Amino acid sequence: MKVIECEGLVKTYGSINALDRITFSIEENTITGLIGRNGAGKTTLLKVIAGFWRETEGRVKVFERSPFNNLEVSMNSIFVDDMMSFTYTLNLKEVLTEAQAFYPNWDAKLAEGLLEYFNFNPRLVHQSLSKGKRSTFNMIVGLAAKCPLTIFDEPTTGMDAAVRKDFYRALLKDYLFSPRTIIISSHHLDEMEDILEDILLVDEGKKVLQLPVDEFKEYAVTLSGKTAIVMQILEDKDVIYKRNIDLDSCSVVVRNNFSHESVKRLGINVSPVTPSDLCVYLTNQAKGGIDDVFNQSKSV
Amino acid sequence: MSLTKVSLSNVVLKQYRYKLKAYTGVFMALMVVQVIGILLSIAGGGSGSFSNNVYTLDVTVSSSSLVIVLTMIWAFMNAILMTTKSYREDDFTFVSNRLSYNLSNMVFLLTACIIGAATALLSTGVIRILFYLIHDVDIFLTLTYQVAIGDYFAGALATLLYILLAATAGYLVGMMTQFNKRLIILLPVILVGLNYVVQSNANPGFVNILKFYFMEYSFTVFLLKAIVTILIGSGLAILLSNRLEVR
Repeated sequence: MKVIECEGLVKTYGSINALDRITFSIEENTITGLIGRNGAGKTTLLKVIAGFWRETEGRVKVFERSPFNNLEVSMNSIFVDDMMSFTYTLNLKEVLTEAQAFYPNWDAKLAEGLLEYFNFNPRLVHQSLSKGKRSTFNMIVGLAAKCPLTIFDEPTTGMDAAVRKDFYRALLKDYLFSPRTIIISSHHLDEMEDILEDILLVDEGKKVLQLPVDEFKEYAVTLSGKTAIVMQILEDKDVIYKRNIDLDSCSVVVRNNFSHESVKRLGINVSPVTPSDLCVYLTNQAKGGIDDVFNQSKSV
Repeated sequence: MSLTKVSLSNVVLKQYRYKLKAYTGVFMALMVVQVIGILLSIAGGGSGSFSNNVYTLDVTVSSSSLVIVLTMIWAFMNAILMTTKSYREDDFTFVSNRLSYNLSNMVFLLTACIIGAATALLSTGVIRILFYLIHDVDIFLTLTYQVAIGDYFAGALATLLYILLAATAGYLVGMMTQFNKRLIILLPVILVGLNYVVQSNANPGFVNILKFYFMEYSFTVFLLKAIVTILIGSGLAILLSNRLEVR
């Protein structure tokens, strides 16, 4: 069953298309990583899916229903981000008790266990927590709600490395224990590629790629070697990104759809590209890199 | 994982319960406002003096009208507050859609207004006792006979309806400004401007609107006016916010 289906989804702000005819679907009981640069439309997409924002054009279906203003979608999904707001009149423990009243699958034992593990004082209020602690608490709510559709929008904001690691582990364990559809948008793809099943890469409101992580890892390779030789064999390859090109040697990222043997025989080194690097290459707006900005300003 | 079916009334009830626990500030504000009202009523109070050269009669009148007026202002302000972004985001953290959000707000406001009206009416007793203790009163007159239980009931209902009218006005104004921030400036301008335009000797502008509600001598007609106004106001607020984007 498809939990989320988007077809030609458009969301406009004034004259800007935050989502630009994006079409994709997400299967039930999968963990999808929503990856994209800042301003690619990740949050907009997730908020439309959660039913908070209304789509401008196109079709979006969550559990085969239009999510905007739909009580059933709201009941069966939870949207976790660092802006989650809890009333200041209730402390953390009381907030968890209230959440339990709303979500039928609420796992009180898990919530309490995580609250204790992460050293929360249950009598504090949410507003008094630090940024990282707040994100951690939101994550606990998101996990314990056990909603059939759980959306994490940059859940690790402000968390330190140790807590992030714990979070990924808790997420994976809980997912194995009670499978559900999870979407995580994050900038830390290298940290979470082990728990993801699919990657949905977006850029400028459009879908760039949607692939299982294993295929994503094999999607491209780096060819490096003598510039003259590498340039020769690029003719029939899909070049994704060129880097470190000088007269002597160069390395180029290309689609991985050819036999490596023939290339290696020419003395070219073929190496894999990490998913997080590949995402950066695939969504690079300007050719070149940040170095060019400085090189330009120097030459002027 | 299987989907959970939900009914609107179920979610509204949950949100309402949540609000009773979370919005304790509303009731704190009510207490402060009414204590101020009681103190001001005792300090002030209308007084008059009559004399026929033989006897001089000093009359001091105490009433809870001021407390009721302050309670109306409290209802208006709290209703506006409940439409603001931070309150709305609290709701949409958990299960909600716009209709359930509005309905639970309204049920909560109704509850708060009933409590506000009851305590405002009960303040009459407090004011009388304190008045008696503080002021130098020889004869203490209260209306006891000629006032049937039905009249008390009508008075209580009218008080509640005035407070509810204030809350509805606040809620609608609040929703309008949430819908478009520019209305914060435009609404007073339009109201004052319209008042200026329609004003004439025969028609003193908005005094008429106040008269419409406050100078109605027939209880049944007032009941009708108030209830219809509250329903229209609430309906408009729901319609306005039904397209509101949250979080």
